[in-house]
Amino acid sequence: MTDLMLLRAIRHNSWANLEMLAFCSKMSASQLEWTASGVYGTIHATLQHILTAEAGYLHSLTGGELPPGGRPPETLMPLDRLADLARSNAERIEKVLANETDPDRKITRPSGAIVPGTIIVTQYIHHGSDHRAHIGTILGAHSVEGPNLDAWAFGRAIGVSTAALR
Amino acid sequence: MTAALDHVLRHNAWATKTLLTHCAALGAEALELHAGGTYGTLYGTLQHIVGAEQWYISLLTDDVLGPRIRKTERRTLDELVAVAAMTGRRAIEVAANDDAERVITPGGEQTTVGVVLAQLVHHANEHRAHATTILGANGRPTPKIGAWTYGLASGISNIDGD
Repeated sequence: MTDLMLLRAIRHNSWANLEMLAFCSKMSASQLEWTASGVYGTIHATLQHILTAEAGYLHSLTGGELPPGGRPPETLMPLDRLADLARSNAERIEKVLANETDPDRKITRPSGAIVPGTIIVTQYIHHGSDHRAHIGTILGAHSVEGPNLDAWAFGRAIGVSTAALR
Repeated sequence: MTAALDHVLRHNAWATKTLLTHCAALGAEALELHAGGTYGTLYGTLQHIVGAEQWYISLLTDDVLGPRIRKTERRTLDELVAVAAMTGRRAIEVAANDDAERVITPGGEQTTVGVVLAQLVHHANEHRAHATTILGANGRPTPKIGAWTYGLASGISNIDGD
């Protein structure tokens, strides 16, 4: 059974991905190529990196479907395909958490490295916030206010919170 | 609490401490670096990470751990490390013992313990990314603070990013 505390963090991550994709889908192709110093890459490449990395983590956790487009993908997928991938990742990670019976289960990554499943879940949560922050930085550097992706906004979106705190 | 959530919160505490220690070694001048689109200076970002976490813990427990971190008062990085250590430990205790659906009412608003903990994790990840962006944009070395490196540092995996 999934810990509700953990589920909140995972669902916030899934919600924030889709919110960011919805925001970026209103941007032009040239705006999606914006970047800034010190970040991962362009907005579009960063979005794809977030979602394909999640798919890669899920592949390690489940042995299921490989991330699309290779690793790293050589071509950028359209945002609607990335949104499909985000929804698929969201569904799959919840199933993984619901069915995990051995938190100490060791997993062999494609590189041959061995890591517990719990560390992959930790990286899954860290990775999304880290790279969404990069997109927020790119938007800010171009004087565009990005979407509010904090957990307060998530709490309001799922109806458990009225707070709009810092 | 699941083992995964325990690691999420332990990674959070480890990553903040690793970042603070890394930045302390860069010297005072580096703390004033900034980059477009991020929160503020490197120091301001570090203080914001720790101050916000102190506040989240106070929402959850009614305890202010350590000296109150205020935006208008500059603390040493050693003080920030000390406060972050306390709030990091308390977050793990809260997750282990509290109810995710318990309603709290900060400032007359309503939210839940689970939402505050999700915000605690998200907020630090987001602003640590700002700090590393500032370092990278200014040609300074960046610390490895992902969960892979945390697992390696904790002795539970042999992967440092792949």
